[in-house]
Amino acid sequence: MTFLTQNRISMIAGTALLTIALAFGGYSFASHSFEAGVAIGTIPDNTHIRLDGMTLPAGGVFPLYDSSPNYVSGHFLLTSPCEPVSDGDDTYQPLISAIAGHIDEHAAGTHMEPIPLFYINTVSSAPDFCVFHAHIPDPLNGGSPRVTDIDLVNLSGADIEFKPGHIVDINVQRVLGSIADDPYEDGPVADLSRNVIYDLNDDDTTNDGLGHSSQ
Amino acid sequence: MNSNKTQLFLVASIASVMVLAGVASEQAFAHGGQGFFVTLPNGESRQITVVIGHNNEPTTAQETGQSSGNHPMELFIRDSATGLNLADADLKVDKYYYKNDKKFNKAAEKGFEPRETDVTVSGVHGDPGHYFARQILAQPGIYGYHVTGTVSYFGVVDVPIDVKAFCRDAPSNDFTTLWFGGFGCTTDVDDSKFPGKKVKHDKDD
Repeated sequence: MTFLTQNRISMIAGTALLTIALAFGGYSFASHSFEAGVAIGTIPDNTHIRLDGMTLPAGGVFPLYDSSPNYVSGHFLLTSPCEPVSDGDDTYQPLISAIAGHIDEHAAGTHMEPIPLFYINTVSSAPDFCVFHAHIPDPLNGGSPRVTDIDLVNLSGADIEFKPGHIVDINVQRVLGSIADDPYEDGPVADLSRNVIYDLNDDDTTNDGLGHSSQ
Repeated sequence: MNSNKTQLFLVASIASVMVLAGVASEQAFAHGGQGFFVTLPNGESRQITVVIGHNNEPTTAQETGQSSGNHPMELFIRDSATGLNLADADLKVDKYYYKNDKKFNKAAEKGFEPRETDVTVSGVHGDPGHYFARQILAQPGIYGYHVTGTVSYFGVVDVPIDVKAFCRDAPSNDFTTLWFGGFGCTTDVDDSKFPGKKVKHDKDD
């Protein structure tokens, strides 16, 4: 048996073992994996959008993200000019509104609601620069349950001018399903009220919302 | 010469595994489900969906050298509206088994009695919202489960769970509480062989 023949047999044997491992190993050992961050349906996807230099007119809409036909889960970050939720309030709301849900080519399948936002006062400098977080979707505090589209919309009645440091960051962590399988059927729904603002860091416990998270 | 035979054997092994893997990937996902309503502390309502079945359906009973019978009872628990998984649950299952329709119907008259009670249902590691009660299905027949316990709705509310189901081909019964679907009963691995035992051959054969 020559050296070349021996190598060829080793190579084929190795390929056979690798094939067997790929075919059955994943099933056999999956439940022992500690790599919980990687799962079927997960997509590591981050969208960072600079808003500086943009002036959004009253009634203007700025589409940010569209993952159709997949509805997704993830995290939403907005830095924006802001104003008190009510006169004298130490909790702020963005001048711009953030909405999410699904925009369908059929009106009946369209469903958009304001995103429940958490005001992060520790890294905000109101009124020029406020930071807001949101969970996409947020089954506890409301908003659209299935999200394929995220937009900014100017409901303030005046132009909004964005400056350096004003951004949106959308981190999509998992695909939850297809809007084709779980469509909205009660549309068109377009709730154009201002975002509900939660604040875990003030003295008011009535605006804490549910499911406090450090994420 | 021997090396040629070895190569042929190994290539055949690869081909066999690839064919078997292809067959395995075509297995159906047949499960049933039931909804449970949740009232949040703020008074709003939500619903969760509990899906029940056997892992790796269709199921065949254990048969030495042919079928492992390794089909845990499995649950998928999620928020109905969003599809988000619910990863924190405290669940037990009572397990039922009947060999055939006759024994099932006889038991139905007296009331179904579980073969095993309070079997632990555990979360599948690395797969939130997916739960197993591990088992080897030893015999073909009619299997049923009664799952009870609580599921945490994102740490805010504990939701009582009560799901009862016999496999889909069981005789009509008022035990099963599923709202949709069902899971298959367990067959003998020999049942799917073709041609089967009762094939008649011509005298010439």
